[in-house]
Amino acid sequence: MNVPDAAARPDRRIALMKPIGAVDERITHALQLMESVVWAFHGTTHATWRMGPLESADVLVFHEGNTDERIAQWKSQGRPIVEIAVQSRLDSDTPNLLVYPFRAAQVLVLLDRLETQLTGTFEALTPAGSMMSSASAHQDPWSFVEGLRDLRSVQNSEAWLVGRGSARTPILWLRGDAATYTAEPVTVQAIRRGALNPNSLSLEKGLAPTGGQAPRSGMELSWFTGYHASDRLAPALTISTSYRISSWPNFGLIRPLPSQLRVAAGLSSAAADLSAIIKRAGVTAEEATRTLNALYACGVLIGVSPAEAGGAVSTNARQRAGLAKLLASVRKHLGLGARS
Amino acid sequence: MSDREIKIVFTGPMGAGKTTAIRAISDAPPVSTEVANTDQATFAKPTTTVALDYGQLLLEDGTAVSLYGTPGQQRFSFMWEILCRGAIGVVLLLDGSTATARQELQSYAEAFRRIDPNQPFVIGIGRVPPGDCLLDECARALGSRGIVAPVFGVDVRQREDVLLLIETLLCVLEAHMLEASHAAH
Repeated sequence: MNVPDAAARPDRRIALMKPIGAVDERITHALQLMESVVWAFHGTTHATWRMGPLESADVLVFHEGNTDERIAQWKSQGRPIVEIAVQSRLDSDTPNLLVYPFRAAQVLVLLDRLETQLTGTFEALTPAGSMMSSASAHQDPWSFVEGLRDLRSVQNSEAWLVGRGSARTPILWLRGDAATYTAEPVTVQAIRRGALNPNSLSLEKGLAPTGGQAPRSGMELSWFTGYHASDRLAPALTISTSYRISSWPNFGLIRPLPSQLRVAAGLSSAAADLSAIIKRAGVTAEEATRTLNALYACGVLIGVSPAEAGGAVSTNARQRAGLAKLLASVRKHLGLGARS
Repeated sequence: MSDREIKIVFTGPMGAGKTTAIRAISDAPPVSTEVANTDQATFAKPTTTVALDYGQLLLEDGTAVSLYGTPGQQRFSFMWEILCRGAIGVVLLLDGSTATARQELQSYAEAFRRIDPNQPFVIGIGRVPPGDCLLDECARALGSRGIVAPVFGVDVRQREDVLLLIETLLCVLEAHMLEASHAAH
């Protein structure tokens, strides 16, 4: 990892809001773990992070269920927050969620993402105006995807971000709530194919697009940048957590591969972890991983507890065999993608 | 499978494209009970389906899969249950350019969930203006009612769009089946 010299690193403060009164002891452990990891990573991240009082903090860390009114106040100002939970709950309203027990590497990625957020997206959407892209963003394959998730949580539909390529030419216009974007067809195709690295774009606050290109769904941008970001799970996902989808992405626009369709269908039927969805959908580990990443990028993936993961309607083996044969025949007849 | 009829039902309000969708994939021209549309105030098209549309997929092994289109008018809603009973899946089609699309989604989704809450159900919405957030809103509205159903923007005049809806239906059906198999072991 390329980390700037100590002198060039900005100083950042984290306010850790500790629980008042008796709470689940996992919450206490989670907050202690967070404090220890921040201390252990001192000097290895793109900013120098220390714990500090709320008044001088850049980031507020709190645990789920904490009703302190200062949290709402902090959120309403659009300032970065980190929520620590003891159960997986990947809703789009909480872009920086750490689920205990979390890995130290997750905190490392999160700290660098927060730094990007502090120097980039957040400021880009404030009157000061600045860049979303930074040195760390270039190296983190998730910085653009996480930026989109942050924008969705900020919900600023009045602002526009302009993405410039290496020649500083504007090639992408993204609305401040990430609900729509505009680009030339060649850029759209490059995004869909994964031929354009969105992390290399510098995004600056700018004017709304004036060209004749029709606005496109931000979900399309999220899906393809999430799908192509990495063949490893997004840092916020774990192989042992069971996931389901809260809603389907618009596959009419995405034109999914058969493997993507089967993973989505599998996760709409019942929650599954990575290995279960590979088996259920009959896809490769890479196809399942990338599709989970794309669903995460779209904000429709929800982590569930093992108790919630079941819920199937029981059928007998004969019915299932008959149905499997019928589905294969219908697919063959219509020329649809068969199971691998 | 048992000897009962194997069918897929296309439903939705008048003008959503049910007849067109069935025509796109049926092996033979669909049998339509269309008459002159006397309700031009609701939807301006020359004819409308008053009872049902019927198409068929005749599979290699001789199995016939019936494709039914329900009549679009609310006054024929009693037929939805008759047609949907025992169907392997339901395709709901809506016209996204109408002001009533959201309301129709809700009433159709709730009606079909009541008929069979486990029946695979996919939704195709046509004529959605570019950049419109109708699809996201519809998916969220269903999600808030605990219905996780595919909601896709489609043009049913395009055969591949109808095939996408059918393939999704099959994938959902298959996922239910595999999950049931897993639960049984």
